[in-house]
Amino acid sequence: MDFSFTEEQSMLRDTVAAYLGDHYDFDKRRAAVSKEPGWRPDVWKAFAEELGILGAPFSEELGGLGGGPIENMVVMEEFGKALVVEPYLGTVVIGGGFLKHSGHAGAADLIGGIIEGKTIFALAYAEPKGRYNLAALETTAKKDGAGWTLNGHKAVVIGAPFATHLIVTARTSGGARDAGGISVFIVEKNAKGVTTRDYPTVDGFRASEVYFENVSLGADALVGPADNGLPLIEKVVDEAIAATCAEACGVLRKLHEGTLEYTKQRKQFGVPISSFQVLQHRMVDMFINVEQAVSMTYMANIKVSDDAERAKAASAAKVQIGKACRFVGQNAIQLHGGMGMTDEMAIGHYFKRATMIETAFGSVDHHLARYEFLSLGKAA
Amino acid sequence: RDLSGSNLTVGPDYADGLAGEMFNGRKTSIYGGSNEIQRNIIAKMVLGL
Repeated sequence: MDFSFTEEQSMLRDTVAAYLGDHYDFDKRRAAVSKEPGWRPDVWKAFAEELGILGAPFSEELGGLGGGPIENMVVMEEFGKALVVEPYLGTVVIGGGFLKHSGHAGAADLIGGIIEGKTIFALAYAEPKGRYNLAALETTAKKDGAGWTLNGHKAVVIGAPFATHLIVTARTSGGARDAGGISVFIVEKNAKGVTTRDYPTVDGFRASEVYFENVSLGADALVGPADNGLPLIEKVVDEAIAATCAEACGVLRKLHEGTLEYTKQRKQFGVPISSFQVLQHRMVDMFINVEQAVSMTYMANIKVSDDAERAKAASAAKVQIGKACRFVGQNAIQLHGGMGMTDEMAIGHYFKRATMIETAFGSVDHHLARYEFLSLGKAA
Repeated sequence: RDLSGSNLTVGPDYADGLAGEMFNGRKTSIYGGSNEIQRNIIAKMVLGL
């Protein structure tokens, strides 16, 4: 198998890395996330206009760069290295994914809005009692004439404070954890009846609790098939997992490199602590975790477009990435000693991002159970 | 508006402050003599290595 990147993909990586090097160093990032609004719209504008990367996975007919999962992977890894908080995952990967795969009538216009930098999506799927189960939904959409009335509470909607539109998974029929009876809707964030409670998350990102009270949705709000939206949700979430694994690779590389660098210059007992065999072996174990995470990420992104292979590939990758985020993140702080506990050093910020990624879209245990279910065809 | 600290919470009451405790607890294997140093001491003093 040929794992080399094309010339265009290498150029994409270099362009993104160069922009982030100039505009997204650690001090600038730290300053931006510690005050309102928690992100930089001018950076998003540059992504749209200067770099054109918001069109990365969209066809050229729609105004995009004609790329796919590998282009998303390249962008997300660079974003991980710089701890970028701007909502590429929610908007380009997830919003774009729902629009591309559903045949939604307004898809071309909304994708145009994404590429221009005007339309920003956040995925409102998780609920307080959901426990990573995409079908555990108490948010309801009741049929109302040609449209629906939406009621419910979505928890920890990452990027909702920056979004113009929410993608909402809701129950249109059936029992609270049934696989059937689920539909997907696009809801404008400023629609009547939508309220949000915004807050920062530990990794410098922003999220909201989103409450829907008798929100009126027109017939055109539906994305994908009514009552049978779960397959579409699973497909897009697997794409989001593959992209998140790529972001994790960037974070993991920085955790490892930062630890190597620190231990080489930190002296104790008269010598650099990198000369101690225990720490050398630990950094080798960290390195092995990083390499395995990168390999699993390549595998997931290569297989994510194949509906027969996608789910197992995404869950397998998420297991490895989850374990790597825990091992590499925790050991990075350990090897930095007391300095690792400070807010001034970048290492703690990478560690907190890795800790959030560890359980994003499902913990290690959740994805092991899913992999078992997919392999053996019965509940774990 | 100060966004640092634990005065912004979300989720069930029993989870209040847990994230802060989890991250603050990271120090326990470092301070007062790191785990690696403790292993050195045990190797020398207990195992005679």
